[in-house]
Amino acid sequence: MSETAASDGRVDGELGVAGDVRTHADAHDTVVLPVGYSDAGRVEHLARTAAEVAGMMETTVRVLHVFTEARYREVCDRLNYPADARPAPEDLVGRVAPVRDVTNLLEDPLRAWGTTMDVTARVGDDVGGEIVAAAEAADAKRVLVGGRRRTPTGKVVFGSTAQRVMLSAPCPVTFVRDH
Amino acid sequence: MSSEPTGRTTTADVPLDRVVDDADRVVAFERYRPEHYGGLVEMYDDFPPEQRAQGLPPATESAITEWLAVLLDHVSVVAVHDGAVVGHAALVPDDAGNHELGVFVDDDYQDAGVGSALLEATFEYARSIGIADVWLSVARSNHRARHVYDALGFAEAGEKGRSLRLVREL
Repeated sequence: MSETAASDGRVDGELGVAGDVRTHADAHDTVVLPVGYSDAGRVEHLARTAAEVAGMMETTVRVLHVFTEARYREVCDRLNYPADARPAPEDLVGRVAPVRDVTNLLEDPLRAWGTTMDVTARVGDDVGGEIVAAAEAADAKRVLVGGRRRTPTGKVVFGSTAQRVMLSAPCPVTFVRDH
Repeated sequence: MSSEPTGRTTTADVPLDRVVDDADRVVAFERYRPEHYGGLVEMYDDFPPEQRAQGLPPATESAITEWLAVLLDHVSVVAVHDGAVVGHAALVPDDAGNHELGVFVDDDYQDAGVGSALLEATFEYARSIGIADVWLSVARSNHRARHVYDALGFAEAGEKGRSLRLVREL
């Protein structure tokens, strides 16, 4: 069975998103769920919250990963792309463990809520700016961000990406705080 | 047999320093010892919620206990007055081996010079065990704390969201 890329470049088959929870090309409203390497410890919470928000708002979920340029190059090299190749970031996103985890964890709750997801990726060093741009491009109804980190003494340092998104997103933002 | 004075098994209970604060209270600074634990928990339990900053101290006793387990594993100095713990400074190493400073002073002992003296005593002790510099994170909007750090010679070394990173050589 072959996977076709949707017109906007989404290739969901890479992640093995099950057919019954995969967003169709004609889908409309969506909430954007950015997932990065630093979200590894909160994937369950993010997935559960995103499914709940999308379910109640009757939208789909768009999982988004933003590669920094350096990380993009690193993954390209690891996959043996030629040095000058610029593969679509969607082709690489299956390599991002927390993205895989989130999509796996989303399947059941999305089924329960009766909604679907797709996965997109972008490349850019201004991660917050890319998330905002993705939300604008998708005409997102909501963006979910995680982003609380702790210093060694336990101080909560609000991530600059989360702050950037909250201040600039074109839609309301749901901040998913760690426990 | 032993020439060790009785009633003192280590030098850990000798105060690092002792000051008379602006309210004429004698406050001693001591390396943390297990005897301080109850007083420390009590201080954090009574910490006014509106004075919590950057999520600290934790709001519940169980979270305080969990948090202290991490902090007390490293360098801690307490301020003691009248048998009660009224201040706490902790240094916790980060992944790079640099030490982050955290400091908390009981409500009733703020603005009396206790915090600054506690930090001076902590820095001197830290220096004596080979710690060369410390850093800390402070909310940009926490002007009161920033003023204290400024007076103690901390310099800005970057920002993250709403927090500033300050550094100081010891």
